[in-house]
Amino acid sequence: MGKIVFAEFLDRRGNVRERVQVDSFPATVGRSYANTVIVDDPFVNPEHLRLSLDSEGGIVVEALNTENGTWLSVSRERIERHTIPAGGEALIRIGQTILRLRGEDFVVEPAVPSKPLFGLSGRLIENGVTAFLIFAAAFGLCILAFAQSISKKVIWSDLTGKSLFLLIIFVVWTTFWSFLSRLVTHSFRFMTHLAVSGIASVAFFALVIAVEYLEFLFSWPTAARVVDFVGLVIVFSLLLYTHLSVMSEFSRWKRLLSSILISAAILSIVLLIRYTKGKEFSTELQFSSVIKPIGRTWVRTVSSNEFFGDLRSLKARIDALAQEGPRKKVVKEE
Amino acid sequence: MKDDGNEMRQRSRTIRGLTGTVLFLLVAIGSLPVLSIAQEMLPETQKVFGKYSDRVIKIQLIEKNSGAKAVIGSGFFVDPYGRIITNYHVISKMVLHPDRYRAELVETAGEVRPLSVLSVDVINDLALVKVEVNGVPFFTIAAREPEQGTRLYSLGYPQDIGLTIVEGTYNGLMKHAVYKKIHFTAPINPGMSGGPTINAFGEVVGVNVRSRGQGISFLVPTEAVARLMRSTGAAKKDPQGFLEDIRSQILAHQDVFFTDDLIKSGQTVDIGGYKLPSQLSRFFRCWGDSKHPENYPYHTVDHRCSTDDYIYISGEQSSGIIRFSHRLIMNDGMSSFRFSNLYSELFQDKGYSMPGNEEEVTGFECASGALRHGEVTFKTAFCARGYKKLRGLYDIVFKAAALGPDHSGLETELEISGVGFEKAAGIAKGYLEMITWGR
Repeated sequence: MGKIVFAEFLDRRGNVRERVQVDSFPATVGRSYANTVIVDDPFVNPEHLRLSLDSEGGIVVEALNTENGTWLSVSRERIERHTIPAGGEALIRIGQTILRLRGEDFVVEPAVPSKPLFGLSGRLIENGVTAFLIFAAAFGLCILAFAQSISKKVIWSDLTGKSLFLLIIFVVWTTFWSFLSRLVTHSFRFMTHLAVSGIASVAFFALVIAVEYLEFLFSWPTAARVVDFVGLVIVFSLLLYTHLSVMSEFSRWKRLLSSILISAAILSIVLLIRYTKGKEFSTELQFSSVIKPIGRTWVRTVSSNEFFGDLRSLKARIDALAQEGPRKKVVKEE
Repeated sequence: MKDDGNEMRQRSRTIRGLTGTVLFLLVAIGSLPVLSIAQEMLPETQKVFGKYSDRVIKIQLIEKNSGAKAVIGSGFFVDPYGRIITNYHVISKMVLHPDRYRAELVETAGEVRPLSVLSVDVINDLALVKVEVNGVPFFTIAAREPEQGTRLYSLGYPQDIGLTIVEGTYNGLMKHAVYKKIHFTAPINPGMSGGPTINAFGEVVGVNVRSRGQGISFLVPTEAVARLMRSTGAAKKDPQGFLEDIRSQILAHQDVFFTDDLIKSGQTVDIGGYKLPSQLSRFFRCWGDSKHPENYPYHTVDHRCSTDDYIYISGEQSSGIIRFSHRLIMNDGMSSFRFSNLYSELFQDKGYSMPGNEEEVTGFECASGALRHGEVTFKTAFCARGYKKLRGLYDIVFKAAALGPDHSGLETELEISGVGFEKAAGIAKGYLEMITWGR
């Protein structure tokens, strides 16, 4: 039995689109149906090239009299006759088609060992059961944190309703990412996405609580707001990055860049809304009113002399606002 | 039998006739005092109205763009040359927005004459205005304060329905008022503001200024009227001049009223182990209550005090009000995390409303922090907003929440309107330093 040669049609990204086995030589390649390998490309001649074997097992490619020529794809060199040594390969361009020629004696790379997406700990969220348990724990923590934030009477039906609402948000969010996963990687990975959402929600709650303590201990609402905002962007970016990693089609840098860009866009929208809201006149008081049950002894305090003696900057701020003067306004009806 | 029957009927008629006569005499005798009082009152009121009503005028403020009236009030002549006393609040829109409003005097026949403002006394809510006339009948000011219970007559144009006279009695000066006011029991309705209240001799005893409804009304005493009449001068061309007058009157007044003693000499009240400011002076009135919301795991004890009076600046701005309140919150079984959330929410609550619009005031700006005084650590916020037209005046809200044990919380709020910044900061400091832990 003679040597077998494989003619593989590649797409633009180098993936094999179609593979044709050639086992009798000489064989021809072209657009005509009389060929051994038929190429459906208008820039290819009906009979474009001929394949044969030499005495040493090499594959001989002979260009026939063609309109657009036969080229080596990598070196962009036009060929009339080219020999592929035994065990070798060549990328040939005819018309707009890339054809990879390999013999059965071509040696392929050894198999790549499979790795968890996120290292050792990542195995937990890739396993359906542990992923669900992680999500259940995270969901429980969210409900607990929510119940502790109710300041007045706990109405259980209200709490159940809010828990269901939170659950629906989780499911909708996770389903969205699962469908994206299915489109890109042919796998839903629902439980993994669910676990990622659960962990992120705990991170969001933890951030809110941390910021409240920061505000309580240091009475610096502006700094607390900045930390809150930056923290939200970081947690949200990490959430997006992890979801994109589960889909695992993009490179690390692409994932990072996408996450940061989406978060930055959301940041801009929120900033814009806050800016326009801040411009509206209000008689409400905006001050740091957070009180926490622990850490009182660590609260940074000042004396009443220091507090009341340090109101000059507040007065200057108000005087600057008053300086703007009354705005011209259309007369309203009495 | 027939005669007997006739005799019986005749006797019965006689008895009925006698009974009727006796009853009629009894009713007539019983009604005599009522009739005599009615007869005595009616001519007096008619007499007062007939004799003095031509000295009372209707004032209206016209909004220039729409050409329609925006405010109506009353006033009265105090000399033959057209000088008129009214309330500042009747013409305040014209003083604050001269580009948008003009003032007019409306004569009985419906003819209107322009009014100009000569001077204002914002502390006593009075204004001296002028119309170009000569030889008009005018009121004189009563030389003596009447006795409590003296019958007085108030005149004015209530709700634009024509000149009206109402009778009432003089009840002396209000005990709790910072700004002297006469308590007068008569229904003074909107539109009568600025009108005179006179005695039977046609002498002005007070100027109608405010009503709390149900016959409780207030008058500005005549000493303020006499003082304003002495402040003669031509009508001011520059509207900014009146703003400066108002501003300086308020600042001068607060130097007298908002003294350090106001806080330091005040009484305290014990709530939940804390000693807290209460009746700071006779001008304050305090009220208290406790709330046990059903099915809610906490209850509160409230104590609030305020001055009874204020200085009117505009429809949405007043000055000279001091209010404060304390709220002790007791935890009835919540976890300390939940209780701290409740405490934060109640601390954020604005106890009193401070209305205002962008044209007249800035938004509130706050300085917050934690401070320690004695054994108590407070979470505090000092918030203020500035007046845009009356520069140098501010509204202040000072809030403090004691960081105490987990089973209770105490939050307190002090509100002062239309006051100098440093003065307000001094009062707030004194107020906070009055609070001590006494258990």
